[in-house]
Amino acid sequence: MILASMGDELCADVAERDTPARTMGDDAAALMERYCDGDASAFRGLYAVAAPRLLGYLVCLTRDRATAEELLQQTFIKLHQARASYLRGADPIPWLYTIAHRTCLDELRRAKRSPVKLSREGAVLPEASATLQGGAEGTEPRFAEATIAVVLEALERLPEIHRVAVVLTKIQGKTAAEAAEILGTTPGAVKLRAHRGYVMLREMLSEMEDGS
Amino acid sequence: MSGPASKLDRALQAMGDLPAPPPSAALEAIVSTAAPVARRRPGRTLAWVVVGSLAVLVVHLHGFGLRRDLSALPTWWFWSMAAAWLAAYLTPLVVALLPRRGSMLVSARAARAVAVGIPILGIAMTLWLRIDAPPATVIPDTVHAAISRAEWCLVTGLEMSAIPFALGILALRRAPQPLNVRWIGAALGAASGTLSALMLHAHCWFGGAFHTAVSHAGQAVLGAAIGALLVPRLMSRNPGAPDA
Repeated sequence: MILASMGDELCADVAERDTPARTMGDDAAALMERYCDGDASAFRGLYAVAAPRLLGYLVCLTRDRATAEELLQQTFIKLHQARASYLRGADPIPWLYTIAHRTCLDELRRAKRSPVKLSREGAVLPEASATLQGGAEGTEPRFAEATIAVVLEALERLPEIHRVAVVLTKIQGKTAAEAAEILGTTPGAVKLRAHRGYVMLREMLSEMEDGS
Repeated sequence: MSGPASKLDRALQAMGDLPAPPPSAALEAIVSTAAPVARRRPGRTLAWVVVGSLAVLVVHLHGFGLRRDLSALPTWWFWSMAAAWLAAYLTPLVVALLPRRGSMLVSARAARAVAVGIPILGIAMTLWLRIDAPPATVIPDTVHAAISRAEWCLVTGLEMSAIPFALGILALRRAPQPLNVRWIGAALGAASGTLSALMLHAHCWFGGAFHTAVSHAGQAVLGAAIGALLVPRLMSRNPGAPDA
């Protein structure tokens, strides 16, 4: 009964976390402006504003916290390299999502080319596990982590277009218009994909719940 | 507040933010040396693309010459149609290359609207506002003659639109793009196609609904289809994104 008793633990997190997206975008735009003008401290501010959300996004795409953290660093390095592309007054957050997504795709392509990880002695290493809080190996994960791992597993089984739409709208809290801007499609298409993905996700989790 | 759906909602929402590690030493080192940078100017890029494309149009018209039935046609009609085709070229190009104020990325919704709307408008305009002045305007009287001339117009139009399309691709590659660029590519292709339609309107003295709708206005449809197919492939390694 994975889903049956998880609500209370997550309530507090959700209530504390929600920040108006517009404020985030405005802050990010002002920080990006200063950063492009050569203010390194503004970069740290931008990182503080955007990194938690981007990390959540990357974990949903990769299912691996360590890989997601590595990709997060690469995303910001690429942002630095491409900062001349920034337009004055524009919200850089959707752009950051596209950089993060493409960085992730590159990583997945690289991983496909070398699907088996070997130790120095040539032994096959086990797949990295999907932990969100980065807890030490071998420790019993907290209940919320176990639940989220199940949701991540179900998310991975969704078709790509539905998964990204669900991640952006249901997890990242983007509006359909914001998600459409990132994905390069229409808000209507995003709503449809997110709804279908959400329904599929719910069915998968119900099956998992019944199975357990 | 119970049931699998609301519990799933809460699980999904809890996954949004994660405590991120601080910037790595490598990232800090790179950022600490950051100097002010010159910004991208999409308006200037757009202007270069327009100037380059219009130069290609002028060169083609200079080579091919204006239509032979020009003296038999109403001047106001010729110039009005030319202005309409020019507007039909500029509209999708602006949508494909200029992000909205406050946004870094071009709107795919607007791109879709112009990529679909402009070719339809172009064909409708050609059919409803067409003026032929036979015998100065040649109306093909056999299927063979119609196909032969249509082939020439289609091939010449495609050749002409290649350079404006390439200029647009270069401009797109310099800018950050959303994850899916199919509609933006279609808008860019439609723009290149309408420029060909403008060239054919000014040069081709063959008339008739079939010829003008398919061979002239059809360039916009063809361009949009080619753009939608080619641009996602050509943009797969986009330095402006940046993912190179």
